[in-house]
Amino acid sequence: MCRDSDSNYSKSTATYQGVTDDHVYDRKCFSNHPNHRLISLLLPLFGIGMRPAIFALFLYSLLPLLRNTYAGIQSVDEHVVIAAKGMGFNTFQRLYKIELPIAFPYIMSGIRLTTVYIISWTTLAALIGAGGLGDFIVSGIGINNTYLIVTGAIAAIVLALITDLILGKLENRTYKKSKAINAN
Amino acid sequence: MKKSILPLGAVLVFAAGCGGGDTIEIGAQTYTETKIIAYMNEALIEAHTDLSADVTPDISASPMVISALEEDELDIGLLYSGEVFNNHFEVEETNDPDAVLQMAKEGFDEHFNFRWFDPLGFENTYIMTVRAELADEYGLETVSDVEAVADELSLGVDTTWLERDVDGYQSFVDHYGFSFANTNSMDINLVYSAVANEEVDIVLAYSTDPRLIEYDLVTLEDDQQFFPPFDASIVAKNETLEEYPELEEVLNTLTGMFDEQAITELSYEVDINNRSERDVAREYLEEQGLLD
Repeated sequence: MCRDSDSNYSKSTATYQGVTDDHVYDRKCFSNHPNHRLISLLLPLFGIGMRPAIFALFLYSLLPLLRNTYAGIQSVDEHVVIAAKGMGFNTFQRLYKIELPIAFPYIMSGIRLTTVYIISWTTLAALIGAGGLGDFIVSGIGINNTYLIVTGAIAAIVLALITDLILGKLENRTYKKSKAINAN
Repeated sequence: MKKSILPLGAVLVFAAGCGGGDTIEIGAQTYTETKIIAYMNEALIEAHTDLSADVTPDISASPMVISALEEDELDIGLLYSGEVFNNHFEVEETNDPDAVLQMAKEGFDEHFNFRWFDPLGFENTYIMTVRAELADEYGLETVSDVEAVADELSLGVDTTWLERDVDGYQSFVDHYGFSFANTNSMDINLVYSAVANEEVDIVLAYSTDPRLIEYDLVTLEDDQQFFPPFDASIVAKNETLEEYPELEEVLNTLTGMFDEQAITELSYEVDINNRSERDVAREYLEEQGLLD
């Protein structure tokens, strides 16, 4: 978004609290959407098109991935770690043989969730000339053409679901494999 | 416990204040002039009636303004006569400003029960725009001049134009008989810096945007009259006007008041000099003696 709406952001956020059932506010959220804003900020650095889009989406994906990975490592039972130390595992061995396999479901759920989010966020990349399914949605909104909006939205949903399904299958397979290794 | 009541009460009072009643809700789109006009209307309504007014800025597209008006979320918006070509109802294909204005007035009254006021006086239409160096290099003055080099140029446009029916890219290609090497659609507020930073070579800009001046861009004459007229008008719900008859006169205050240069100068204050839309709007009205 351009600079002139920056000043409005905090102002509009303040008004949101008063009225929650108002659709106009959803629309406001759309144009003042933080994703949209970060993407626009990158214009002078990366130009328009795919590069700034990928960079912005990469930044967005960092936090949820980090959080889940951290939570996963944290979830490892302290006693298991102590036992591993007692068996003479060094830090890296503990990380690779104990902590990461145990944290795997957490990490994987972070990846799955983030992937689904990123696919839906990518539609906003249409606003910086990166095209894609977002083009259908955004131009559909602009020219009052519901078919375009629905086409873009459904395609994005299907893409997100399929990707999630594939990642889920992958997760199961890898998880079983790592279990089998651990059992040996 | 006592502590928590105060903010809750404040929120309730605030919510009640926003919930309509005697508040006129004004909508504005993402670009500056729509916000300036919205804040002018806000100031005028508050100065000359007992009503209060509230502005919702940054609505991302004109059809959203229209549906918000339809759903009673807004009472007043700013629309452009070329809006009739956005699939709202059947229209004839014409580029005559009076005919388009007439279609807008009649169509939106009949199909949406909106009152389309007489134009504010300025037109904000699509205009092909290039960097000054590029214009010099290829000797570009009109859109027709672009034909010779179009296959080397990449075009930047707003997010809707490629798909627009009557005045969109496909019709442009049919009308002018050439197409560009590639097209990039993006938020309208980005096209100016995109062309200035050489991300694209030519953009379809909005003709009253002050960034055309700021980035030293050259606009090309639409010599084959392709783009339809986009005369700005205030639009209000008929129901609101019936409920508060005093609004009609107030909303007519700005009619015919601006030409393209005047509105561009006001937007310049906001976009380039970083002032707030509300300050610029109020200052202008005070200078004109319209708030007394």
